[in-house]
Amino acid sequence: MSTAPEQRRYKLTDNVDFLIIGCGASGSVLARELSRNGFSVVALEQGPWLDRKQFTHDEYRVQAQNLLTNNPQKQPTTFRKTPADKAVKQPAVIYGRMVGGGTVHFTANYWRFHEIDFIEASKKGAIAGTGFADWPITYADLEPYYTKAEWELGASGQAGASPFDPPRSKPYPLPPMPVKSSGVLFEQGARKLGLNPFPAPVAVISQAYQGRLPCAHCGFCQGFGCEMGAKSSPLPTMVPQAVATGRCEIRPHSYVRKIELDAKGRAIGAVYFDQHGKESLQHAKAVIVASNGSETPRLLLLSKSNRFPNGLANSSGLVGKYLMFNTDTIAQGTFEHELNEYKSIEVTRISHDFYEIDPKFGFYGGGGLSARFLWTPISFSFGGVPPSAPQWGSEYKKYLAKNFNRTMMVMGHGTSLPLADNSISLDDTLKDAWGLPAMRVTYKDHPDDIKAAKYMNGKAMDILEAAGALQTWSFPVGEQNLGYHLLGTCRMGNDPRSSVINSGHRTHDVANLFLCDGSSLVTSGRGQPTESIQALAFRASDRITALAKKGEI
Amino acid sequence: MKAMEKSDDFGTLKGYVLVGFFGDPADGGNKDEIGWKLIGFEDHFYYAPPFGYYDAQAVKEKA
Repeated sequence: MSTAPEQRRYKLTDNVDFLIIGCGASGSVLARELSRNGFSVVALEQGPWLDRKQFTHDEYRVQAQNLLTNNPQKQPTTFRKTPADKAVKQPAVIYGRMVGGGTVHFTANYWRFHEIDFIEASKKGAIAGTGFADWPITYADLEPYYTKAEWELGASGQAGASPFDPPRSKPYPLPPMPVKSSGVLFEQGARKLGLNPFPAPVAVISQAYQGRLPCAHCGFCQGFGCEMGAKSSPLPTMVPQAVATGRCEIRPHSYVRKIELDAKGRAIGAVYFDQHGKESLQHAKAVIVASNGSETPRLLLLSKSNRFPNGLANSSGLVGKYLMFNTDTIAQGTFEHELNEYKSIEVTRISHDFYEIDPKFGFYGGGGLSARFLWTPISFSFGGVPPSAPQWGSEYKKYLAKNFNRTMMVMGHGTSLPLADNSISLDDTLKDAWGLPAMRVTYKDHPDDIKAAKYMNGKAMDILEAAGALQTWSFPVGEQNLGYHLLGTCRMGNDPRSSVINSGHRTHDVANLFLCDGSSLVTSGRGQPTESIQALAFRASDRITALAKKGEI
Repeated sequence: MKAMEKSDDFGTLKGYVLVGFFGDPADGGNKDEIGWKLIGFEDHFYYAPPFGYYDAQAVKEKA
């Protein structure tokens, strides 16, 4: 099942320069950058190391059997809406669990955050009862690293196509992907409404790039691994490049249970279970946790000690707090002619016209809209059918036959406010398959998040209608109980009392412990966080390299 | 029948039937791709644009 190519091997007792925990969107960028910069690196990944030749279009096996994601049987979670509620066992988070992480199966929307995302609290003012705050860095600080992410990983898009785009130092390395029928209809509908639709920036290569072949339009992006290697996940890019340095070992099937400290309070490495359940301690001079916005805080909470009784690096009490999921809404429409949306990438046109919803409506928020079709044959037969249509029998069959290829959706992707009660914590009783306390998720959307999501959903319906849809309907918009954007749980900031890491990703409490992934975010952005997470990882690599070279770690 | 369609047992049964009908034939259901043929889905590795009616029209209008 798992293939570990020829690579440099380190012994457990080798005191490597960096131990990276998690080899996904950010961890593999850090592994590649730090190993290229001359450091010895071991990257521990809890999931397998799959080759793209092992990916299939088998909808049932890949999605129902969690081939690419965390497994709710082995890693059960509990969920509650508020700390006053009893947490109930149910799947509450989905994340990529393999070398390459969630970017292996992601839709590949590759949006930069805008300038406002970093300074919104001071521009718009505090929101009572929330942890709404400015970032300690600005868009300008991160811009060179957005550019780096787009060029190093390979993104397709059209610079300047959106009047709302933030400034950029370089265009996209590759032109946009060919527009699909959903993109054409979205563009027509949006233009009728006076909006500014534009070609979706995506982490998929539209032409051959750096030795990789372009997208073949097979249609299996979201939820699937790319057999072509055209989706610009770290799996065909950062990972082999890290290994090629001869200084990086990627160790799959390594489930970390604790970060160990010495008597002075410095990290000395991490204890993990290997594929056979054997416990090992890998030594390192510094530890970087890049395990995603749910597992990073969980690992810190699991790593409590006499020195850190509330969890490692948790003097602020904020480890696990301010969890943000983003909001997603779905409007669907059917059209007269065939769209054949099962072909090619999901999203070819988007709009950022509602990035900031007019404050005169009386709530905070904003988002983006995307034309897409996220169904495959099985999922369409459940989710692609409007509630008013027959749900069984020959009429249902006729509906599916007619509309599988005549349906599209417009999704809204929106803001989540950081709330201290929304959090990752350890469950009191439930254990995972390794006997560790299971993850407990507490989450209730802020009323403004729901209002903004409903607003976006209304605009999505308007676009479908303006595009000439024969029938439109939408999924109900309500409070969420399942997250797949896992953000904000170890936020960065200048004040150790109100943040977990500094602007260079170093924890305020442990000098040789760094965190870099979705947990670092201070605000949620507008629903597509991956490029920001990877830009942060490129920036963190530079910052950490500079510290190491000065002997300051 | 309408009331039954809303029951949990019916939902589970419907799920199995649909997975069998629309799933990958490699797993034993969807014989001769009968489910896929019904809805007009093909599982190929490569497609070239135009993909559907509306993007084909848009290309024509541009030309």
